[in-house]
Amino acid sequence: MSGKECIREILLSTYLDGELSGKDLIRVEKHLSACRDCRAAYEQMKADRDLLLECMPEANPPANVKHQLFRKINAAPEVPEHTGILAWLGVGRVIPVRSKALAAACASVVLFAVLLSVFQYQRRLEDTRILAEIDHSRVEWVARDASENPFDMGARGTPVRITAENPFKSYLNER
Amino acid sequence: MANSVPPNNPEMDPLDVLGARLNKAKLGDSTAFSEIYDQFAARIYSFASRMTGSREDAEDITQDTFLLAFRSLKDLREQDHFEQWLYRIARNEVYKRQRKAKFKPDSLDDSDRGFLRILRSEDSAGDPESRMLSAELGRKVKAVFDSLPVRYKETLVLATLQGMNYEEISRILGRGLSSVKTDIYRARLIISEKLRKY
Repeated sequence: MSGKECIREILLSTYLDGELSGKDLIRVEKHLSACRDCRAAYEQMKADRDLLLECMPEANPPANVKHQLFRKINAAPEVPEHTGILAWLGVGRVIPVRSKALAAACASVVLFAVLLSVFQYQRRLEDTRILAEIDHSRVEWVARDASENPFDMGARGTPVRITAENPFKSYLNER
Repeated sequence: MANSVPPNNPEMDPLDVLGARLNKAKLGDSTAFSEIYDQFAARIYSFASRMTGSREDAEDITQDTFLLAFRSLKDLREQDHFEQWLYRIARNEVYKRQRKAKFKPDSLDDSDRGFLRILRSEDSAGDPESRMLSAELGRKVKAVFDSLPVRYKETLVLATLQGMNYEEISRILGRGLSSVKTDIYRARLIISEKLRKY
């Protein structure tokens, strides 16, 4: 190049891809027509690109790829239609589960969890009911004054003694 | 089956043709999707093949890409950018396979398929010695190309071999234009430097 500074190689790369326009395009073309070194660099870049294109030509996939693809497409719906509890749970719609087996398994787990919760809740209700039914008459409080609060140990100075059996004992045994 | 969209209707813009096919395919029309497949399969297969260097992987990636595309068509917002969307799916599939470290060195029959094609194409013209040289050159080019970092390889493949412009590449890779430009240039530098060593 006579006198002028050479253009950056990245510009040559961009020019090779046809991505230059306006002033840059004019500048590069003008420079290439005058600078032997840059022209050689550009020609080398172009030769490398052509070599890649020659060695890795575009190819069509084998016919069996399409055949297998459309067998899969036609075999399964785009998004499986679920009915009953699966649909109610939003499987395939809210929850993007595509396999019916997986969806059924998920639904089973959810159902099991719900049933378990219901069972636990009922059991707790039963406990409450049993406790409520414990006949307090079986608890014989021996205190100086049974009408007093048996837990009030400070005021009257006599400790409370419970002679009755543990009212929960029979219940616990039953369990 | 629904009527297919005429592939070479001179009155219709190619984007309109594609749009019509996509609309039908979105409704589950597999014939329309078959036409879409025919339109893009070679590009996606070649992209996968160039990225992985393996015919088997390229076939699987092509199939998975189109299957996923068919199932996700409803999520496609910008139909004009369908091809880039398809490339993004294919690229994800390539990365997925890389993560699973399923890439294995292929036999000559597989990975050098492109180069053998060159040999075959020169059967009638060249002598055995020149064909051998071509095959040798092909292997060297492939070795150099495969040694590129994936980041550079994918930009070079898209720009040079798939013929996409920088804006399309930027959209596919989710990187800025200047980053794409720089990566392509660096990839070229590496290729040029290594090829000169041979």
